[in-house]
Amino acid sequence: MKMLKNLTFAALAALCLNAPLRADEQVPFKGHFNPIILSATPIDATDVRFELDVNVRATHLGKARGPNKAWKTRPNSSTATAHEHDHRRESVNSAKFTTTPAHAGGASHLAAKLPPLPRDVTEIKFGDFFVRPVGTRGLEVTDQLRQLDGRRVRILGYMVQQEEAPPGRLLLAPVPAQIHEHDNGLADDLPPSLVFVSVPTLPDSPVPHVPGLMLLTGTLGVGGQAEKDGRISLVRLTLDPPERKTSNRKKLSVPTGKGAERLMSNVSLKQDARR
Amino acid sequence: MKRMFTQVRQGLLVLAVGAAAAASPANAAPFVSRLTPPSALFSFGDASPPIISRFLPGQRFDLQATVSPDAGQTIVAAEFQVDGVTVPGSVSFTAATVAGKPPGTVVVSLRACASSVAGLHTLTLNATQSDSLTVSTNGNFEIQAIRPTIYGAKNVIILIGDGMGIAQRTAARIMLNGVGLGKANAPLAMDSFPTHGTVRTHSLNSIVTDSSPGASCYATGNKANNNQHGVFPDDTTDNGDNPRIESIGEFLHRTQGRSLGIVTTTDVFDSTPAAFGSHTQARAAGTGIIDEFFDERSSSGLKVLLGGGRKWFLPNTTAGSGRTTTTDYVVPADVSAAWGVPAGALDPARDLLSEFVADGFTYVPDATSLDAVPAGTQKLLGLFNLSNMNVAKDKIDKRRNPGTPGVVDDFGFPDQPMLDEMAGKALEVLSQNPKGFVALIEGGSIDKQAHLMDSERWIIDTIEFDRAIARCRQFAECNPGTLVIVTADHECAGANIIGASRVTHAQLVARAASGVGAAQLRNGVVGTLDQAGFPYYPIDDDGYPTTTDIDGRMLIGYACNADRYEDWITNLLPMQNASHGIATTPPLPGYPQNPLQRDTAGNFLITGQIQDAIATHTASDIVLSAYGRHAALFNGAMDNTDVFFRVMRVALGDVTVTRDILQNALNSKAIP
Repeated sequence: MKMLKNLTFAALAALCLNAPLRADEQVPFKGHFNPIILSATPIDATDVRFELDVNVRATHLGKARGPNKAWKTRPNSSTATAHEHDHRRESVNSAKFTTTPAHAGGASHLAAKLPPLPRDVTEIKFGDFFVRPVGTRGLEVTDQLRQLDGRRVRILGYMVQQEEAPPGRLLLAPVPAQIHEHDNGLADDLPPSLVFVSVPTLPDSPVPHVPGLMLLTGTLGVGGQAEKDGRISLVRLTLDPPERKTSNRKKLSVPTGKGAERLMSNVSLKQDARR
Repeated sequence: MKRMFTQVRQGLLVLAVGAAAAASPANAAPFVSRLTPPSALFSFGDASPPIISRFLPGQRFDLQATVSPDAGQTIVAAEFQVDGVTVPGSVSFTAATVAGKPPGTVVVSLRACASSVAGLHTLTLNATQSDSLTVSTNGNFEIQAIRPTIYGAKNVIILIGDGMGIAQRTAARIMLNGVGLGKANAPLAMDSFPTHGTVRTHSLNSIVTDSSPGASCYATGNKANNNQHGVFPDDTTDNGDNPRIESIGEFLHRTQGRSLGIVTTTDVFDSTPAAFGSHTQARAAGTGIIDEFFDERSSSGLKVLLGGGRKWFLPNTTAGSGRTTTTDYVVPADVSAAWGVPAGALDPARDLLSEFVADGFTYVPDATSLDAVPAGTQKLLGLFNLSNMNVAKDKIDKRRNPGTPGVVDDFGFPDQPMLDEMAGKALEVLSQNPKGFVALIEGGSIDKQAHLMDSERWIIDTIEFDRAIARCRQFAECNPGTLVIVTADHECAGANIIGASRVTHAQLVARAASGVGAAQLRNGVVGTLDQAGFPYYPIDDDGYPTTTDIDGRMLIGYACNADRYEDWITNLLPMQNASHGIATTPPLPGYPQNPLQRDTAGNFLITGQIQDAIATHTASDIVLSAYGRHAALFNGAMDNTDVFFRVMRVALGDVTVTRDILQNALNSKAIP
């Protein structure tokens, strides 16, 4: 985990070093942009995949924002470290960015560029959970979400960092979030569009927290249900079992297959480490 | 002898006097670690002013003490005396449950007491343990004299700009009205009030208050610990059993039949509104706070509740509900009996919204329905967001561009009212009561946006707050028996106007894109003193700036800042806040998580003086402005608890107010 953190910092430093990278033809601008690393996923021994939120500053245009992704070859040392505010300059190899201008009031229509959708799997987004605008009382589940009850879906989100996570379960949220059960119990500020994810491979132990975005695939359950920790779940996801990794990990640079790519990868690593 | 101290709701007389008078107090084994109401006499042995705890004649409050017995013993009896006379009533015993107390430590309480005799009083606690050893200890409190007459203010409007220090007011005035040749072109509405004073904001346990005690002082006249409101601290972990103090709404409803209205731009469970309608040691216990609003409406006279926070009103089986057992409340039997309030319940499945409606409240979910509330409405509930309402800038952006997706659409609530609209409707409903009302109107996100160091958003929220103030002034002009108070609970972020930009907006954009940091975004940009000149912001017909990205813009700095990147350019999107909306599709649509994820392209990092992720409150004094009936009473330098007593003197028609106003005027003339 420490290695992953170091790599993330190294990559963060590399990408945030203000190298004046130009966008492609989709958005003409003269200026610079700054990526926010939303996730840094080690793909294999040499490559890291980043999910980015790009802030564009263009003369006469002002600010715009949008999601992007990039691949970067890691620094050649597994012990590479970088301070968060280390302003070294380093170019990004083979980084490709496409930028879509964000509207002034939000950019929720911008979709992440994800790996190809496996067969028989439906993409679902947090923004699709509830009818908007909100009605006069509570939130109303969309027909789209209801119809996916019992079906295999894929969803992108952030694993909530919990102090006292119950075994075999994680919470997936549309925003990075940290909750402190010891101090606040269930008095948290988690958004209502929350997915209760069952991790069958870890039935008896807490799921280690993984920062950044994760893409999960599994079977969806919709409808109110009391959970053991006192929460009421509305949307649940039971993860697909992890696939065995191929010996040539480079082939994973464009993730495919079932299950929680990042999660399973990390869990596997931890289990390996314990052996 | 005249009985000067009574328990308002008489219970069984339990006067537990220890049998062992043989042991002198000096040698007593039992130990008293807390005596409530708090006093310097108990804490430091100092009987001299300032007196920490003060009450109105007849204002109810709880007496309480924490007593630890000797090892192997138990506390078997306790009594409270005031000026040597035993206070009648039932003393309750509860185990102290906070960590670190010796075994057998108990919290003894005598609930809902009051005194009608003005002056300084000595409070004594006598306790006896099982081996007959006793302890006796003293504290004190004061009953503030009030001499009622008929010329009071029937209506009291308290406007609190949460986190609004003097710089927040100044920045709003510069942006809204501009300055020319050294003079403000026009005052803010709050500037136009005839009387101004300063207020000290410290809480019971810190020089820096949070919003709970910051508002509780105005609501009760007494200090509270941070995170607590409407109560004194105690030594139990139960949120509902702390020693209570009767609030302004409760007192004026019980004694005068007046109504209470609460209006805020935040979640209605947030500290400032909650301090006027609930009693808790845990400001985060939202389910219980909102339940208490409703359960104790017959005590507080609650008739209007407007703001965000719909999630607390929905049963936990409904999507979007925030109700949980751990944030709910139960009131112990002694509190319930003595104060005459329901016991509460752990009921996260409660449909509180339906209960409000069944009780006769007209419910409005958006600005359109708020505007359509018919004349003559007696009770009004408006819940315009699941949590905090969106801030003024984002509401205004949507109103100006109704066909364009905006921030409020991302949050799922595109039709939220502005604070002046909420205030106007609240006053309309509250004034149905011929006996008068108390209204708390809060500009709550001035604080929240200052925490996030989003300068333009808190400035525009201050302008929104000022428009609500103007609406209240208009009401007071038409209803002369009205007192309007404008103040804050504390300052937030150490914000100040450090100068103005020396470059055009286009130049600033180019510099921000350079990524060179201070060399481009500080040097040559931050104009101080005469370099600042007079920034001019054009104002649209809706009363808000047409744009905040002007040439030569005003620049804000923060003395209590967290690490942040700064490029001075208006942020298109507010900081993400998980307590907000429902609709986000990761990757997040540009909503930054913290001030280190915003404005990063310019690479101008301003290192924070605090370790927190966001800026926080400061201890500096804040300004109070007063208008209407006996406003002149509110000049000079005040403690925040003083405000409560001055308001109550006006509300109750203290005959000596006029004399004191004259005295104040004479004193001010005497200053060389």
